[in-house]
Amino acid sequence: MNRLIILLSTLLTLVSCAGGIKSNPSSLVDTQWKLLSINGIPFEGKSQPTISFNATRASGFAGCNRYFSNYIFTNQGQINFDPIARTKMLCHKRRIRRLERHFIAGLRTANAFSIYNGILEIKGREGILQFEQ
Amino acid sequence: MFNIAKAICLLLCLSVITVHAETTLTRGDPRIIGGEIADFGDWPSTAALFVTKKGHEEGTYSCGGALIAPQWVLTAAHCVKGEQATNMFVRLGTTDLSDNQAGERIKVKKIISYPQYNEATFDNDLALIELKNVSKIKTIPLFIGDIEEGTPAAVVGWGTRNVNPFTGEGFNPSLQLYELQLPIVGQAQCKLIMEDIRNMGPVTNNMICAGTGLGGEDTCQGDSGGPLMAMQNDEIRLVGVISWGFGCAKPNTYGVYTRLNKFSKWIKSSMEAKPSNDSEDSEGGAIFWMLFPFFALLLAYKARRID
Repeated sequence: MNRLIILLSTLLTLVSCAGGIKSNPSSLVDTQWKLLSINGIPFEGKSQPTISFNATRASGFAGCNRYFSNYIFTNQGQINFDPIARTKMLCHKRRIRRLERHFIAGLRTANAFSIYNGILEIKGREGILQFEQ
Repeated sequence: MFNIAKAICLLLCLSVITVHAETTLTRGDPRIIGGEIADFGDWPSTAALFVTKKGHEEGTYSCGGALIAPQWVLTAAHCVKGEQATNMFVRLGTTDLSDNQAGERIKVKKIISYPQYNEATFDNDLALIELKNVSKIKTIPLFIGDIEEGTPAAVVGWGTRNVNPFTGEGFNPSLQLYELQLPIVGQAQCKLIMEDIRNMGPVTNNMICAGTGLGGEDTCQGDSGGPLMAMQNDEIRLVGVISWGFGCAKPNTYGVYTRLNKFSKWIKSSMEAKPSNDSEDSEGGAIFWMLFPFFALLLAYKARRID
């Protein structure tokens, strides 16, 4: 029985490593990402939001305005972006305004992230943002 | 009976929540945010930047600016990032954007963003726009030297007039120009609030802050690129360019502007540089100069043959 448990736990560890789920802070530093989807709805159009990370700061394009935020890792896989500073351009198209609002809200309320199969997922109270490089 | 009581209770709760949301929405945050409609002629050098779709005459307003010389408008670099001069025009000499015939409408000849503009930190957020034609509107001079903390300043813009209290986001842009008076904030105070307390920034020495810190009055989405102005030597001068902020009109935060006195040399040298031709012309010119040696050699060869 004990052997079986050891075998299963080893297998689980191997499977999770092979799957490449990353949620350690260093996996984000010096990376750039483009938005794939918000809450499962794929992004379509020209004004593609982006996010870039350096050691302490995240910045990018929110669809109309640019933004930045100092981010912190509260624990393994946990992340916090609040507060987020933004430029003050006018977003005329309702679709772009809504995109920017959901994107910023997604970041502002984020509390976890993971990278799996080249997809960065940022999750929080306002939903899930998915990015690709 | 119990269900009816529950329904009444639910309705009462909902109405209380609705009333609360409405009062929060309107309390202290109407207009630029705060401020009042600007009188025609009070801020003549204020420019409105429009972006057009390729091949279209009509454009959409995106940012503000300030006419600092008859053929030059100063704005924020983030306002022109990725834009082509051929797809932009500027409106001057009007406070009312709903009247398409009012004031001047001048096409953009050239965009010069400050070379060290940093789009990750918003540092050096400044750009010059060269106009195709000379404007007849009164220009605004730059403020000379450092401005003192507490100096009353003015901001104007066609930006959003209301803020969503839950997201801090501006909505409902204005077709009328609005003006607002705000005090200049000292650099140490701004750094304390924005960097130490709000954990954002850095607020670099190329930035200047304005605001009361009380909330309810600020610039907002659509005001970017517009002017921050103050009196000097009995005339209104340009101190800064509207750049960024944490939401709009929130308490314990300030609006952040590009500090223009740090860029006066660059502004002057850029405007004094050899005037550019239209893009088509400059392309033609480049081809001419590339082929010039060939034509010169050809002429010399022909001349020798005639001899």
